[in-house]
Amino acid sequence: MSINLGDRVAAGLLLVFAVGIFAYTFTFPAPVQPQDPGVTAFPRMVAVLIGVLSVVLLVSPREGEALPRGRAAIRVVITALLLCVYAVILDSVGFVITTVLFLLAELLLIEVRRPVLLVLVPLGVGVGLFYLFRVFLEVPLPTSGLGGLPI
Amino acid sequence: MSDWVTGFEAVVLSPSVLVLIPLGILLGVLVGAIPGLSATVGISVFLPFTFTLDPLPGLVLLLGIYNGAAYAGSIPAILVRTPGTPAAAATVLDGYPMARKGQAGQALTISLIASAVGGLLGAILLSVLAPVLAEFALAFGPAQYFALGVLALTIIGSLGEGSLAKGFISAGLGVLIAMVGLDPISGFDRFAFGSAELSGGIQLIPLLVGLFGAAEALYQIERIREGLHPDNTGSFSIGFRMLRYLSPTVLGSTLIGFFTGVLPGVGGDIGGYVAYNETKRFARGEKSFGEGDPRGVAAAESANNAGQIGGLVPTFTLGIPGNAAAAILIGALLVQGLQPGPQLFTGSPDLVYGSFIAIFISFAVLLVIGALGIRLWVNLMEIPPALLWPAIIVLSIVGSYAVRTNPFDVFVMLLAGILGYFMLKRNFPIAPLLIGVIVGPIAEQNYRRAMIIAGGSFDWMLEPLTLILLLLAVVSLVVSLWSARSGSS
Repeated sequence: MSINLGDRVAAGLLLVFAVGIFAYTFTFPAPVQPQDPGVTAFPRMVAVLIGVLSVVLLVSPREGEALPRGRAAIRVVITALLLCVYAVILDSVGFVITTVLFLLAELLLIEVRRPVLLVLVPLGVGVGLFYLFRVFLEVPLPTSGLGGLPI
Repeated sequence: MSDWVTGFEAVVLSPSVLVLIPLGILLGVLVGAIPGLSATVGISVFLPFTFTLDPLPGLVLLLGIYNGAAYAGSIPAILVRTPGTPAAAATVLDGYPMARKGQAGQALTISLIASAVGGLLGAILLSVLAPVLAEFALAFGPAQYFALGVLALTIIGSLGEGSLAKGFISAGLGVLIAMVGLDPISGFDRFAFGSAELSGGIQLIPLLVGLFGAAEALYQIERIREGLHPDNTGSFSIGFRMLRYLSPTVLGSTLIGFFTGVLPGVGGDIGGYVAYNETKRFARGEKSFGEGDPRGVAAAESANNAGQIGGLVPTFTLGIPGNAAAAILIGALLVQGLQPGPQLFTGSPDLVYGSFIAIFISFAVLLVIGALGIRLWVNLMEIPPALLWPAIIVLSIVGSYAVRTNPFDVFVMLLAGILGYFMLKRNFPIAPLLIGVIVGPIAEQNYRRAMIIAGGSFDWMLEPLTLILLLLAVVSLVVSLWSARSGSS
């Protein structure tokens, strides 16, 4: 992707988004009080602003960073996917197990290979944060209930 | 005066506050010294630790991080030409040349002293100005709040790095995000698409933790590298003559930094550059700037720390964030059920004046901790990012989950992280989006209220203060358009 193409793609998406928002506001009800500009006025103003500016960006794109390629791209995409999995299983599998597995996978992904780090960092962060939040800050992080353990 | 006594008692009679001030400063120094971990990222990932604290101790911890990071951003700026925080960008200009000349230690000492003095003087200005402005703001009605909101959005949209269009698109996206959920005036469900979760609105904390914590982590994981290894720092001591030589620069830059920071959305990032340029202009004919002039470091550092404190003026008095990190402080207060604004000064004087006193103490603590650990902070840059950023992601998850113990908020954080990542890649400034989320509802609700009160007429826009604020917004827009045009030509 060329350096300026990224801005053109972003501008195109933003234009579609702005038009979509503007069109969607026609499903909103009219205000109860006639003096009230209602729930549509501001979204329309902002949609017009974003739409006009995205056209400006479309015709005069700026330089930005190209999207990553190769290993860098794999690192970003897999990290985002791991985060998705994390969010899905957090409530059922519990914080400690999810976090330890996530950190282990993430460290392997970014090519940490020292066994001591691969063991200590996930366990230290997972268990440490769990007890810090649960015991000291009284924020209930989800537990798995596996084997009757409080993790 | 009694409010100050109330604040003083709230600080000195609370052991947790007295412990959290140095802890906050230490965490702030840690955050600031590591490139990529700005004050904003730091405050957003440590925010969940304050949920169960009382409001004052929680705010004091975050203010410590805010102030500590503002100083420590200069450490990598001086040693490896990489600002630890955006606010330290101007420090690179003379700090790194000083390091190249073997004077890194002296540059670090100057940065510490200038930061602490800039912050302390900024705290004095905050203490004098904020209560006066808050009292004045008590009389503000919907018209004035709408105009203030428009002014804030205009300034933040036009002052960010990157193109003007991107700044305003970012602010517009923030305003739209804040519209999701029940509209507070007529109770209509906007952009919820039948989802009960969306109907409650997008929670501020997961959004900002994603935009700043997770997005930065994704960005850094893309380019993961070794820790940085600074060269020999040389001597750290500077003489009394040097201090005297730098004092006029520090005083002038503090004033410039503070008043630049008061503008909504500006903070210390711009103040450092403005003060540096003014110092350089004042010393006309001298060619030492850019080649390791200690005045350059002193100007940038005193201004960016004072600017951070200046940013607290609109945050506390109007509920309009002075910068992105201050927007997170507003989020922290909202979680505690407190609404920043002029009523906070009368409703919670212990919190407001206690915070001001804690800021004074925190800069004194910064001077002591900074001086004692100055050799140690240099080594913070050697922390391998490969271990740091995965841990930041976990903290982002905990932070977003802990607000309501709801996995939906983790998804919000994840989506915000992906959005923030693409914004970083394409140079869309993120701060306007966050300010838009906070200021957008203020502007919209007050616009509608003003219209209803005025019976559908626009006459309220001609009230003197409203008109002045709206004209300032127009002037800010014209100036930024003009400077963008002259910059591109």
